[in-house]
Amino acid sequence: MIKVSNLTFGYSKKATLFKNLNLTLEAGHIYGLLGKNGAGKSTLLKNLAGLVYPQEGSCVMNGYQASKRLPAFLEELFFIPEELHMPSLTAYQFMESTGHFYPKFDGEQFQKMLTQFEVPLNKQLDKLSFGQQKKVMISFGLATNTSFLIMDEPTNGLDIPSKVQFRKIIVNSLTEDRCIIISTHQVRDLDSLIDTLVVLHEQEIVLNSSLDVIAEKIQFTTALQANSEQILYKEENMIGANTISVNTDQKFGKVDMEMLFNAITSGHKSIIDILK
Amino acid sequence: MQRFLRLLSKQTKENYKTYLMSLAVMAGILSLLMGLVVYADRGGLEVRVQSAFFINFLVFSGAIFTSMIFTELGDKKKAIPVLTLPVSNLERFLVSWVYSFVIFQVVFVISFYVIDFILVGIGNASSLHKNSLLGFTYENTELKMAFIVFTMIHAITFLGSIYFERLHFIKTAFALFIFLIALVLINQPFTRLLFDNMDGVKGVPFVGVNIQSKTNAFMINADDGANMVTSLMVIAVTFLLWTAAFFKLKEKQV
Repeated sequence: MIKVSNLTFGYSKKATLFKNLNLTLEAGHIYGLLGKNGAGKSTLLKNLAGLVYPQEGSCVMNGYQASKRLPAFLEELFFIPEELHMPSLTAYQFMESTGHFYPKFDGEQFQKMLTQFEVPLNKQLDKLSFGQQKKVMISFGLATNTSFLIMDEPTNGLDIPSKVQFRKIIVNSLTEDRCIIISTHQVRDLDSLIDTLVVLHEQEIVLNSSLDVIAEKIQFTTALQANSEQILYKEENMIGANTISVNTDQKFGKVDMEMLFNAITSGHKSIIDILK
Repeated sequence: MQRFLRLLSKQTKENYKTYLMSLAVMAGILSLLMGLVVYADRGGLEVRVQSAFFINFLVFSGAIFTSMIFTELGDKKKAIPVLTLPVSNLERFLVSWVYSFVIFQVVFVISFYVIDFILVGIGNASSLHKNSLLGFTYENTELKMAFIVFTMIHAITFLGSIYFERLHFIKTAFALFIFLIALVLINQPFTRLLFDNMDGVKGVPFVGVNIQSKTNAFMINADDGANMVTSLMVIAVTFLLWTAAFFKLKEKQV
């Protein structure tokens, strides 16, 4: 479990990015972290991984303070940043030189995933395209079998078939004792992938809720289907309007994450209040 | 220990090409310059010249190599995999220290003596000179001094390498230059104060005091006891700088 308590962070003391932020992330879930550009998604992930130190508060993972970066903490965490640097080694050599630092690393699983992603094992990693490098790191991160896998914009650079493959592989890799956190600004890439949505907005976690709970409380319908008195948010489009309304008749539909994100970040507090 | 050796092995596998290239450049420049001396002096390569090459190349190439040892921590892309690898900060520190201090010196001494042995041999082939090889013994005070100076410079550049995010060598050299100027400027009024503001008194930090009158000039050097204090201070400062580098690494954020 990751527990973020009263986290205050900023790159300078005057400009704080988060203030008293609280968040709990449990094993057995795939979290989607959403936020506008500059909201601090990457910085929050860096706080979780112990790559930056909070001004106040703490990030604790399975009892370990992230900022101490102890080996026992790092053995259970793999962080895939948005931008990668790859060594002048082949995927196989990289596995040989780095895999053994992770006690639960599975070499066969790594090679199998690379095959699924159609990445050559014998080509130098720094000579691969950005998308191919991303696939190598995603495969490596999953094969480490760490309790926590943090991915910052993992689908950047992936082509459409690879995004589909990525979704399949991630879903298959989730176990009861694993927690996967994915940050992205491409909300559609998280469709059919995440089970819990976390929204970071204006220095706060305004939403941390499972899609099931969201679907239980609100519904996404066209304006015609919605009960006009219960509409919380409306988005006009070419053929009419889509709405978010209170789910009074207990119909469970699909959560439109993009619309929900737009509603939250455009200041519709009523939605946040209902989902709390 | 096992994890430390694994990290050492990973560092070697990922960087050996760069290290070998750097070694080739250093050996190439050394061969070229020493070769020019042999050529210009018609086969002559005196021990003091060999000694000068040894000291200068050890200190300068060592400073450049050490100042690059933490380069990856200055680049966010490279720093993240380094800092999230499951090893302790001490292991991370020691691998860089072993590479830049221990392995560098061993490789440098071997490379220097291979080049020196060949060039001395070539020089001796001419009937004009019979050169001796630079003695690598404990009694050789110049070499001893070279290793002491290298140790101090290593500690400074090692800290500079982690403290600065880019242009490590230039920034460290600049910081050292500013520090030395400040030291000389602070030292001078104190020295004058000790001699009741007498004219013609010039102090050289850690070395001695030069006194010039209209007719005479005197140099007051530190005695053995004072030299011992300076040596102990150098050792203490070196350890202090290495320790500071460790804590800087521990606190590194990206």
